[in-house]
Amino acid sequence: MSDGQMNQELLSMWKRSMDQGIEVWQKLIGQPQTADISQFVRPLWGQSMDLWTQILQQGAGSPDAIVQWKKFLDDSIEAWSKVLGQAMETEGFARAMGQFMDQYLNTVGPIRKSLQSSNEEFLKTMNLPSRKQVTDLASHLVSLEDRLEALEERIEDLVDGISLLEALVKRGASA
Amino acid sequence: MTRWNLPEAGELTKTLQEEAIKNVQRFSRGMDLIYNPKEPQLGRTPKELIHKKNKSALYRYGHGSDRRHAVPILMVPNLGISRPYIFDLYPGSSFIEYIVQQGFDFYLLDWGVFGEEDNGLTFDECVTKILPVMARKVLRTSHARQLTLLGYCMGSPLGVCYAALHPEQVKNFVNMAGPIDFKQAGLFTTWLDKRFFDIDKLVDTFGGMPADMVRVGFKFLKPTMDLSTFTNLWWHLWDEKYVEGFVALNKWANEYTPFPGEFFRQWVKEFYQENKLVKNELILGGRRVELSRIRCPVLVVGAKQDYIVPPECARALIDAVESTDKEYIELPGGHISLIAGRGAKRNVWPKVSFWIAQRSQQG
Repeated sequence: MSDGQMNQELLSMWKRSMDQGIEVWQKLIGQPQTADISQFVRPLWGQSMDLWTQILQQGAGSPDAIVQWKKFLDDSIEAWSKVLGQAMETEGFARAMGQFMDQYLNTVGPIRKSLQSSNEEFLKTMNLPSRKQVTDLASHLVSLEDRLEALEERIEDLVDGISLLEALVKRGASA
Repeated sequence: MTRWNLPEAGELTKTLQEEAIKNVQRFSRGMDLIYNPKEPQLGRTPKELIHKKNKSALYRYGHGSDRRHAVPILMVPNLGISRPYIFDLYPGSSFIEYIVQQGFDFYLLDWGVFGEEDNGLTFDECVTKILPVMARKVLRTSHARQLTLLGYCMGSPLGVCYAALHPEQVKNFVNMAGPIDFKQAGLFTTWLDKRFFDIDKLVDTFGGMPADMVRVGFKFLKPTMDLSTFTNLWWHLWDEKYVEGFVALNKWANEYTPFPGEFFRQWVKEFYQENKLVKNELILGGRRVELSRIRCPVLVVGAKQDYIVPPECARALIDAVESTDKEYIELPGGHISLIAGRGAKRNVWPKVSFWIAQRSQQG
């Protein structure tokens, strides 16, 4: 069997398994409109086969083989990156991610709330400040700092004004 | 029939020898990285703390005698996501060191790492309360009347809002890979679309945007990034300089920082979901932010392979401002390559520095 035929055979085998896999996933998810991911992967597979054939034809002991191998690795990663990028820029992906996030927040939200309230109860019983009280205190300090800063600015302006006046007075006296 | 291109015996021996030596070096450095990791010394350019406001700090770099340009530079980086020491990675590979060597009076606004107590901080307050104080401190300490605002990434929209509200203070504006037209902000535009992403629910649940979620968001943008990073590390593991750079950059790349809740809410809603900035619909501190009020010289630097802020997203500033002196340059590399790495030092920093220098005489 020639290299080309073997590649073709492998490619068809792989494509069949991809199609069957996608079909099973579509049935599981119940979304027949799911994007055909194999259309992104097929050209990548073709490129990989070509590249490997090229590398093999050069001979495993070729001085370029190691560089070629690194190039192949980089190209493969880049190609996968493109494939994933294409899949992730679809609205379907964004919707799925949004739904996942929604479910995650639905689960995490109540757990966080109940943990917070039980923690606060515990700290209150132990006569210790709660997290909220500490953050409130920190916020209060920040607002105090803001007020001090405003005062500092006004003082700086006053000092500037006084030095300007002094300079004018000196100039007037010397004139 | 497959043709095998076998090399000359001498050539093959030489290559195999070189590869064997590299492999020994790779192994040795790899072991060092795993068992004897050295903490990289980052941010070593001399600096002075000028002002601190809550978590945010303003630093001034370099020494007075080296400053040749009359107009100071205030760099506004991103708030949240990552720490600003990427701009001063290590000697010889530091944007700040380079800029200071060119004779600029350089200030960096470090937004700091915000905690739960800052969850009420908004984008509005950053522009109308923190930036004016920092700009004022820059002008006061440098005895200048105007400054050059240099925004990087999210720092650009923050800076551009400030420049639109206080055009009299800004002599030049530089946007380095900063998003302006959020309709063209790549994957984030799709993912943060209000049909799919409920920002209110997220902020109401967590109070803020946790650093771990920021990490997940960025990892998702380029899922193969870690793989290619470590493939490249393995490939260059024999090279001491490369490993030094990798260790420094890797430390930075894995130190994510959270967003204050209300800031993130406003950022996602008004910028990504409603694209108010470029439509001149953004209201900050009760005033409309009109980009057309910016008439100072403007430089926009986009990165060709930037998947965080695609070049067209940053470039939109050129069309939005009224400046007559405006320039757009698109350079090779990605989002980070503009600010760190050998490519940045060769392709980006000299261009940015030259452009600013030509416009840094006090008017």
